Amino acid sequence: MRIRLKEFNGVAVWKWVTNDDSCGICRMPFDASCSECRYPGDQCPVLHGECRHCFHEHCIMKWINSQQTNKLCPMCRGEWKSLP
Amino acid sequence: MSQTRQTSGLTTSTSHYTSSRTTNSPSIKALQLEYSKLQKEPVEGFTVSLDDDSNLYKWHVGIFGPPETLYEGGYFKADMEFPTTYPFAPPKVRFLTKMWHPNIYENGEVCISILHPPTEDPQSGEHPSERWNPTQNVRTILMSIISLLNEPNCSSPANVDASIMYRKFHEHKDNEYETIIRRQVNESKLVAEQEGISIPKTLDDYVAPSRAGAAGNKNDKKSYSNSLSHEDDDDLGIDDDDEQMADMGGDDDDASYNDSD
Repeated sequence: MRIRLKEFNGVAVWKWVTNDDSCGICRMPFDASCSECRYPGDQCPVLHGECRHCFHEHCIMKWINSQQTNKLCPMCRGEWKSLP
Repeated sequence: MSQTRQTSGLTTSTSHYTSSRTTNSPSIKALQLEYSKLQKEPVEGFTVSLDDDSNLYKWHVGIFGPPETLYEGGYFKADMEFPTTYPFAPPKVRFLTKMWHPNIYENGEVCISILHPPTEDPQSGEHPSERWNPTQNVRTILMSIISLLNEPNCSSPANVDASIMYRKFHEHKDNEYETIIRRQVNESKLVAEQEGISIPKTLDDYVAPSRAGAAGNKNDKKSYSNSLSHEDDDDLGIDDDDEQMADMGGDDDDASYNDSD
């Protein structure tokens, strides 16, 4: 028997791999966007630090860039280093 | 001392407090989330309400004096005013109830390192790690203030006279400090009574505001201090308790500050 495929609807789900449910800065879930973005996903990625804490990239960079000297992780107050 | 610094669109300012109501602002979202969480799951030692339902930038808080301290049984009213840049900049906290305390200014404003942005005044002796950061929230601020009540920091006092008096009291040389605090606590009890606020008196009631007597939640004295420092104890199976959220309006009592500024 041969089947001819006429149509195909692909469905996928995605989720950020994080060790927390929501961003400690904007308090929004990681699977939603930060409070300044409209759409979650590549437009509003999650950034991990070497200390293993993670935030929306927009949130943590806004904080880090506003700090003149001490660029510390807001969670553990260790030096913030982004993981690639 | 107040400074405004513009870096990548973020204003870190201690004087930039405004009542503008931009509904889509990230600060509104953060405050909404915090407010509704605190309403649904009240936590130990305080209640929160809004000054005006359409303005999330100004909160009223009622702080209960921790049991087994000089402040036991007291009820202290304060206002929190949030900047539009919250949580990137801290709120201001000001007591409306008269407070004689080394770290509270005459006008009621609370001076505590976590309410200071890390950039302000490097000479203050406050370590950057004790300063404001955007993961602080209303709960951590109020927990810090509650523990500050009974353990003032006399190294950088906001009220020098209170600080000197506290030191004498602490060294058992003079108990004028204690007398004043007890008087203020008693005055605050009258205010609570007038407003129909019930003050938690035992440690159990204090740490479990809406579940006093609930099974399986009896905290002993040891775990009381732990729960104060524990940030994520969301295991407080909580029922809504509107009594605790009773109207805290009406500042027209003798123990309040006048709005002079």
